[in-house]
Amino acid sequence: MTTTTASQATAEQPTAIEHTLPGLIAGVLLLIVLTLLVAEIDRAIANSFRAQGVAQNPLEYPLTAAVIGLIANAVLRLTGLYQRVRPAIRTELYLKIGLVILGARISVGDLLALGAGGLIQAVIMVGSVFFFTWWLGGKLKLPDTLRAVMASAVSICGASAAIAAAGAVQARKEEVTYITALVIVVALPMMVLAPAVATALNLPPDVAGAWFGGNIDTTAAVVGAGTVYGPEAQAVASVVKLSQNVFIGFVSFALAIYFVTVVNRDKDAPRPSPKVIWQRFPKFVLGFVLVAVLASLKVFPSELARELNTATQWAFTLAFICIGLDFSVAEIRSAGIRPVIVFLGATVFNTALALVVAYIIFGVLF
Amino acid sequence: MASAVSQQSPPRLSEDWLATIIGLIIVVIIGSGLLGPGAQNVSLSAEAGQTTAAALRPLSGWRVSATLDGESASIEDAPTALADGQNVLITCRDGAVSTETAAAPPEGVTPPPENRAQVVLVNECAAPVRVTYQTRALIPWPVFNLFSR
Repeated sequence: MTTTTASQATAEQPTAIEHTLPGLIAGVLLLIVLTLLVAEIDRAIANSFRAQGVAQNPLEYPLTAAVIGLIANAVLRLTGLYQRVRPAIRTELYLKIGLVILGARISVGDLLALGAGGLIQAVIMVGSVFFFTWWLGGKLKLPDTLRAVMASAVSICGASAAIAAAGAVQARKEEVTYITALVIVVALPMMVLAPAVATALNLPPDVAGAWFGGNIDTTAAVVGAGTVYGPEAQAVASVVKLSQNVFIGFVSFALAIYFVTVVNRDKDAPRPSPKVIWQRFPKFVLGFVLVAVLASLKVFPSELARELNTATQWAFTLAFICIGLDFSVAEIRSAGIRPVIVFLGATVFNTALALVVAYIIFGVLF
Repeated sequence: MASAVSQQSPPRLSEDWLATIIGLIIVVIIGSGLLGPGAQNVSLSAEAGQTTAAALRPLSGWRVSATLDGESASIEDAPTALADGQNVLITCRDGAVSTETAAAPPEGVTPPPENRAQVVLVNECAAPVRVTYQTRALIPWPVFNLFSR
């Protein structure tokens, strides 16, 4: 008989740690190098946009990171090194670490300091667009996780909101990639088209700025559109966008609770007990909330909050490189065209509603 | 036969808790200033005849620059290391910006708060003066300031 006992195996074969540690170290080093490469490419892209008069880089770094990961994926598979570095490819872990640190960007004080106009518009826009996208996604039978990620991205602030929502509802990596790519592909033309339409409609700068802030998904593209229209539009656009951004934390927390208690619950099962809710609850959301509370209490000086933001970017870049390294064309293809239809439908709704709300709030009320 | 002890795997931390712990450790290390206070940027502006003051962290590695009437101006002998309680007096006179370390702040300016140095800008020129004190983050790119936007 050739059966080997566990104690013999421990003595003769490498343990799990010994087996994975070299690959883990090599993989982490590779990810660090790729992150620095992403930073360099991002810097070059930002410089080329700046030369064209666009102050902020609208091609956000998650997309660059995913593309770099995709190229690395092909190279590693061709060279047969993929399995060696596999232990370091921990997309969800990096995303969750980044989300805990992201809490430092959320401040209740900032929300209250935004002023009534921006706050009212943010509440109306985030609420209406989120539920419209959720409803439309349901009509076209999208998975609940994809609906949640998409609704957060369209209603709040693009890629960051998509990442935060994905963590809260345990969405698949492919869903985050899909939505991030859609956000950027739609935001780029919007950055140019929205100021042109605002000019054609002869919108006052504050109304135009509020419209850009309310309807364009990425912060960089919002600032870009505002810059094209003028300094007043840019200032209002930034404030409105910022007021929507602070909703990331509230929406993520609510989504985590909703998915644990409703979506992921067996329909025939009795109402889950607090113990079951606790077991299923994504615990890192508590870390996110704790850091957000500390940030709201102004525990971190502003210069250190900026450094914490860099740490978030590091974690998200690592995660998106891993998404590229783990990329599955079949998974994306299986999603089909329906998410694109829902996304474009939600964007049209968002654009029309934001124009009406911006006009009423900034053109009539304030 | 394998013993019960050898079959037991060590308790494993779930990915959620691992991410929470790592995230919080990073927040504590950076947020408490253990890696340094982050990049500093302090500007003092004074119109003609005005005096202004600002409290700065007692750090070394400051880069000092000045503008006179919006144009870049040279600033002589500006200390790049500031000590706790130090008073730096920057004066613009006859179109030139000069620096001296004073034992006490000039009359009418309060001493620096605890754990801070103080820079006082006295503008005796006919045009506005602006002095900027900057430091980089303790650990510069590539670890920090990854994406410059």
